[in-house]
Amino acid sequence: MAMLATANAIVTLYLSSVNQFLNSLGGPIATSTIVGVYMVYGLLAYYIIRKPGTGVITYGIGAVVQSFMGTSYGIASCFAAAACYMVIAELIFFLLRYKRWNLAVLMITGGAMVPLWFYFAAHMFGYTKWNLSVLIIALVVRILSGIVTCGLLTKLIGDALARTGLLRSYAISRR
Amino acid sequence: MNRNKSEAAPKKQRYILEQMDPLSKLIILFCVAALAMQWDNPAMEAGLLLISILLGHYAGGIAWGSLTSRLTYMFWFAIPLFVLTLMASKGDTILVQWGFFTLTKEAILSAGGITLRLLVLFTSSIVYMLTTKPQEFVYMLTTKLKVPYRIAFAISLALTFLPLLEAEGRSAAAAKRIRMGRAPRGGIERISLALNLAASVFIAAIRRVQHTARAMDAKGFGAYPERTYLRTARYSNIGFGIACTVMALTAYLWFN
Repeated sequence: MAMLATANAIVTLYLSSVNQFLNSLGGPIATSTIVGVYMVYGLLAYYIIRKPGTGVITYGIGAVVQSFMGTSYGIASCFAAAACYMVIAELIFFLLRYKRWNLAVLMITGGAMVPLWFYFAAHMFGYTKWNLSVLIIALVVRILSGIVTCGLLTKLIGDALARTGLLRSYAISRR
Repeated sequence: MNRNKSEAAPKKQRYILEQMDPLSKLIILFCVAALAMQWDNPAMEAGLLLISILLGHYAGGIAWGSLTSRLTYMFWFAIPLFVLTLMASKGDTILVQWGFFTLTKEAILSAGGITLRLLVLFTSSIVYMLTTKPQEFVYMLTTKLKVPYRIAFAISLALTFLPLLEAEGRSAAAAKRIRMGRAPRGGIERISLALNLAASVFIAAIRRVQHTARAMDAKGFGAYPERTYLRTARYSNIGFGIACTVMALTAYLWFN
């Protein structure tokens, strides 16, 4: 969990140049297309380990690591985002009794993690000043990003890592 | 045996923010963030930003050059946000009208407030990050917030491996650029490079997990419910007093 959170912090650092490029291209709506990538590490940890509390620990560690690496949106937003993601992820897998780990579940979870943080981010970063139609478009783009770049990517990365044999001792390999 | 004095004695912390414990500073940071998010007025946000910058330099010992360079980096995020909020916000007091584009006083104030808020959140976080040792933060989690030491150790592990994985990430990124023969062009190439890099970093992280887990098992990590610490974070009444004062001030400003 710690290593995945660290890996995410590194990836986030390199994504900042992509984020900047997208921001100058189309502002927050354009940057919403890669929102899902920032959530991958926690869902990936859950997909690999498959135990209750994995999301809380991984997203919590990720928030701390990102805080000390430096973040453009502030330490408070790191912790707020992590709290939103972990609540939704834990709730969904709790409801599924930690038994279903197929692509559909991962994509739904990836999409479901977005709205709660979007609500807080909208108030923190002033998205509420936008037109309702612009807000809805941004939310839809983020949810699609969560479904595709978080959910789908988690499945692809997790299965690719499992095929390498590196995850022999984890639940993902015991199917 | 004679020891070099500079090796034996730790660097003296001259600034108050360096001497304060991580928990008190975290409370102050969250108070600043709460006020920044509560206020919309650009003048008040500018005031908070100025306070953050001055505290960073005079109370935290952060050089002007360091603060300036980081704020300059942030402007590349802040300017598009300002422009887009300006275009998206509505208002009644029209200043300029040019075709479909209408510039109102309220839109300028909203955009200014939001942009300055982002800068306040960023600056206050930078001040915290540069005046807090990560290990002291981890000690604070276990000793004050009673986070189980296994989880706190995982955080410590993550922070320890951060520079190693970062160096590996840089090497992998450089290798990919060399193989490409040129710098990436456009968004798609950048995103593709970033995804490739992400895969390399994740695989390196997973490999380290196994090595580290074996080493920790060999040393009996987790055998006991409690553990002792060689060093602990310093807690003082001054830090606690400052944190309580800031909380009280925040509550007053929030409701008035």
